[in-house]
Amino acid sequence: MATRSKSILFVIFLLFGMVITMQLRSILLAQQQKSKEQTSIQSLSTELEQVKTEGLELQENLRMLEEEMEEIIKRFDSGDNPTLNELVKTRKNMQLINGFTSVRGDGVVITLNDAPARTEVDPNELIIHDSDITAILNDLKAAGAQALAINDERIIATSKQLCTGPTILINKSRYPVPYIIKAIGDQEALYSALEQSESVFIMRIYNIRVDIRKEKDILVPRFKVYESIDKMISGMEVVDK
Amino acid sequence: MKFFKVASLTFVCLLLGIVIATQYRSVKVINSLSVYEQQRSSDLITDLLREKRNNEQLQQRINELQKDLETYRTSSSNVTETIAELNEYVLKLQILAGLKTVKGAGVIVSIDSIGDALLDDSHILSVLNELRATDVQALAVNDERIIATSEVRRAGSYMTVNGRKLLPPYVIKAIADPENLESSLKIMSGVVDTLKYYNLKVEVKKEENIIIPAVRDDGTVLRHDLLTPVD
Repeated sequence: MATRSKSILFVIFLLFGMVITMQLRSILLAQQQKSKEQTSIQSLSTELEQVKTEGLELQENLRMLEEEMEEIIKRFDSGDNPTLNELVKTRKNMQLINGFTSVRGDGVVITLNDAPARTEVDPNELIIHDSDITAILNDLKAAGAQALAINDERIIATSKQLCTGPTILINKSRYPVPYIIKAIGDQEALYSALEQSESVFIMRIYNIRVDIRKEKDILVPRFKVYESIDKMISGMEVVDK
Repeated sequence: MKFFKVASLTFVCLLLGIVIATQYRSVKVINSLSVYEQQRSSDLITDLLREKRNNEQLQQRINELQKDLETYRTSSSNVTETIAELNEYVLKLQILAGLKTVKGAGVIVSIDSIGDALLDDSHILSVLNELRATDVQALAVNDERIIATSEVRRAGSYMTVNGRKLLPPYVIKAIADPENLESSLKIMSGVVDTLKYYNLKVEVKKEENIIIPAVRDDGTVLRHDLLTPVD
């Protein structure tokens, strides 16, 4: 009897010792791992901040060069060479067509925001996807919008709108909600196109907050030329027709 | 004595249970924590790579602009040179705006429905969007050039692009930067696999000499009469 209870106790204490060692080890390991990952996250964040600051400096640098360029072009315009004057005018017009000029005009402003979180629905259905944005832009284009921007990123022919998790990548930057879409064009046409839009209707069913307003004198900023123009057309060769 | 024995045994067993439960829980917490941290660092790495690339491109633009400025400065006394330089820039902007018919290597995606499957404008829009994501430089659907304000709308069994009726099959052409061409193709084959679930016949192929026509120049597509430029 005594040996039996002793052997039971022996087994229990053996187990006990093993478990305690395991717990101790896993805590130690976790702490090690955590500190390692935290330092890597920390160093990544600092590096990201640095790269972003560099980017801002480059943008400022570019802005000054662009101003200088406009100054020089303005001087050409004031000359008395008709060919030159005509060219400066064409250049201006081309900048406008490409969306390289900020523009003003009447139109609509749409604000999209994710639905308030509810527990019984798939969270995937409560957030705004790139396909929603694309659909709205498409409705606006069909209704004759002449200039478009999302969160002040001007939309050009090759602008991308990509869903990356809870944020959307527009042109070159990532934006969280809310998404503010500005469109200049025939106000009534744009407004009714949105009110009748299938995608707006569906988004409203899912409680995504869609706010559509007519506004006068909207400012749609210019496309930020943050890459070489030569590179933007590097794959194309002009074909004479 | 017997009571003491039983009580101590109970106590030890209880302790053992608690310790095992704690161990189990801490392993679970540690696992979920490391998944979260891994996610966080992979997000950071994506951001970092994108920002670095953006900065490189910015630097390229700065160099380009500096070179242009230099040309204007040195040619300021020579009107012919200035005109040549301006002409060159205007041509680049015309190409960029889609006012020129262009040729280049790229990707052709053709879509048609199988049987009575519905081919919707959203399918074409998603292909265009994916192509844009791979940094293509010119786009067209059935030779209708896609510009900033081009729509793709389904109306019954056809589509309208730039206000013009197009019939299936829809052939989407994209000219890409030669450096990006392979990655464009790879990403597009992923998109094709998704579209096949909608009972659509989709084909992607690479081609060396794609011709994409200029945007229709009859005043109905490229419109900016409602825009007031801001200096």
